[in-house]
Amino acid sequence: MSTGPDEEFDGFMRGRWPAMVRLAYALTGDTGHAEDLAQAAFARAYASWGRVRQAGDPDAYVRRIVINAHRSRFRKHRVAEELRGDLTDSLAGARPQPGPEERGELLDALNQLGPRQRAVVVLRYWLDLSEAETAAALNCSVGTVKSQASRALATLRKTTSLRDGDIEDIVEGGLR
Amino acid sequence: VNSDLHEDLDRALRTVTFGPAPIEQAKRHGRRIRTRRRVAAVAGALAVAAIVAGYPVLARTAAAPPPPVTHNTHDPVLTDGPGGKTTQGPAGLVGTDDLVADGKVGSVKWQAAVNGPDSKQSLSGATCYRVTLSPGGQLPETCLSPARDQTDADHPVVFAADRNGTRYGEIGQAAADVTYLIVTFTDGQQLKLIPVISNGLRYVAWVAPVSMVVTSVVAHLGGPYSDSGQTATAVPFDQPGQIPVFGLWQRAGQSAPPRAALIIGGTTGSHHWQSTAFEGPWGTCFVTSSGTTECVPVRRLVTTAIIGGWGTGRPGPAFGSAAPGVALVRVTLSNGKTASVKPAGVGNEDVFAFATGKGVSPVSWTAYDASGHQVAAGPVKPGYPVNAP
Repeated sequence: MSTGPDEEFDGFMRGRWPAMVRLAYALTGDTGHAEDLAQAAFARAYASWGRVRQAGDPDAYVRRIVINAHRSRFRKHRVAEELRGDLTDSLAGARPQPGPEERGELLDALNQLGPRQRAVVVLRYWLDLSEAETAAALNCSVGTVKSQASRALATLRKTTSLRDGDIEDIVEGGLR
Repeated sequence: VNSDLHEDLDRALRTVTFGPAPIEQAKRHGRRIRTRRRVAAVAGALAVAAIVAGYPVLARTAAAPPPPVTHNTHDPVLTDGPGGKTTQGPAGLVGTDDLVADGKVGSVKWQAAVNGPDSKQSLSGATCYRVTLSPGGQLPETCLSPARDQTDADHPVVFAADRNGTRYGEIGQAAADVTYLIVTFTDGQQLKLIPVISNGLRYVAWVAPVSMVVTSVVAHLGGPYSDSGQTATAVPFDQPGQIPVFGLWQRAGQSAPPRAALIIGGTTGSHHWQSTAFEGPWGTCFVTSSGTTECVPVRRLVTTAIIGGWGTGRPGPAFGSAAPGVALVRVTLSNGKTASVKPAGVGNEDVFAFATGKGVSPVSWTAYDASGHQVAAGPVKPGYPVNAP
């Protein structure tokens, strides 16, 4: 039995929801914002689902919307303002669920970074985008990506007990 | 080494928990986006870019006179493009280097460029707009699905906008018969916008301070180089400090809805909520205390509908319209509770609002007449029905 566009979208969203929320969480550090961001991205994909399907890579489409939407948000400082304005809720939402100490530590450290540095880390080292792709996604120069990555990783190295050698290597690699 | 951090991040992010995929909510939201697109009312986040020629300077102190309306003649002023970077094609001015507009706001220069569907910056099938201010950096770039389609036939221009601090950029995709636009602000300043083609689509736009309110946009119609004397006028819903929202276009002989406003509010627990309905030449717009602005660009709200206001992540009032003769609307919420509301008149319309809790959405509604008889019922579909009479 063939599936219609609606059923295809349902399956796509059901399957990719976790990844998109995690991406949005990694960018925003707040589960509430993350779910809002991801839902809005899927909504926009649904609004143009015919074209998105034809393009053949709906995952990339939604991911791009999440990144763009986040970029617009942090440019407008909306996220920061909203976090400050509703601190109790935000903190409650931002707390990762209890897990291994190291994992919570890394997320906490990630949340300490500024929006752009956090985005660079997420795009460069979690999504494995190249420096050029990261620069294009964040609408900045490759040099900015390098410098932001360097600073971000240095901060992560200071504030986490992650493998120091690995982080050092990455910093050097990022500056190369 | 990179893979180690990748794995650490991956493991860390897998500890983040969240709710199930809100598929139906996303689809409702998507339908609402589609509906807004179709009716050309854009109330939310959007893109930016622009085209300005003829009167490239927008400053509070320099009002420019409106251009003369020409009839079936070639207007030489229309051969000017942004920064001289246009060529004349059969369908109108064609931009080069993706540039479709430039201008000044006070001492700040700006340029608007469009990234085509095939560019790296674009989403699949979408067009991205970017406006660069100098000094001031870029306005937020947003990618939109191709804007115009057959359902936009009544709209000479379909607009979208976004802001950065105190300035906003408005981008419009113009129909083939739009010769130029005149944008008039409340202080009397005017802009003449001539569509410029990029990637096969015709764009108009401007950058302005959000403090300046747009009185009207008049589209002069005919062809790319000469107008026929026909015009269409859009009066946006524009509040000081906000981006104008364009809805209805009035053609010759059409009367616009009257201007009226109505505040509906209440207190639920310790939470005060409010929804204000504004009727006017733009249609009807709802502004809520939770920060939602949503416009319905129709001349009459003749159907009972729960239009919007929920799903923002914050508790806020939902709002809707009631068909003539409806005295009470009972709304069933997703938490099993019901809200009963009496519609109130604003201009030609009957509207209502009611509180929703955080994460609570309306599910269905039932309408009753003054004698208590049920007259209509239905599920909640966000947005005003496109095919409503």
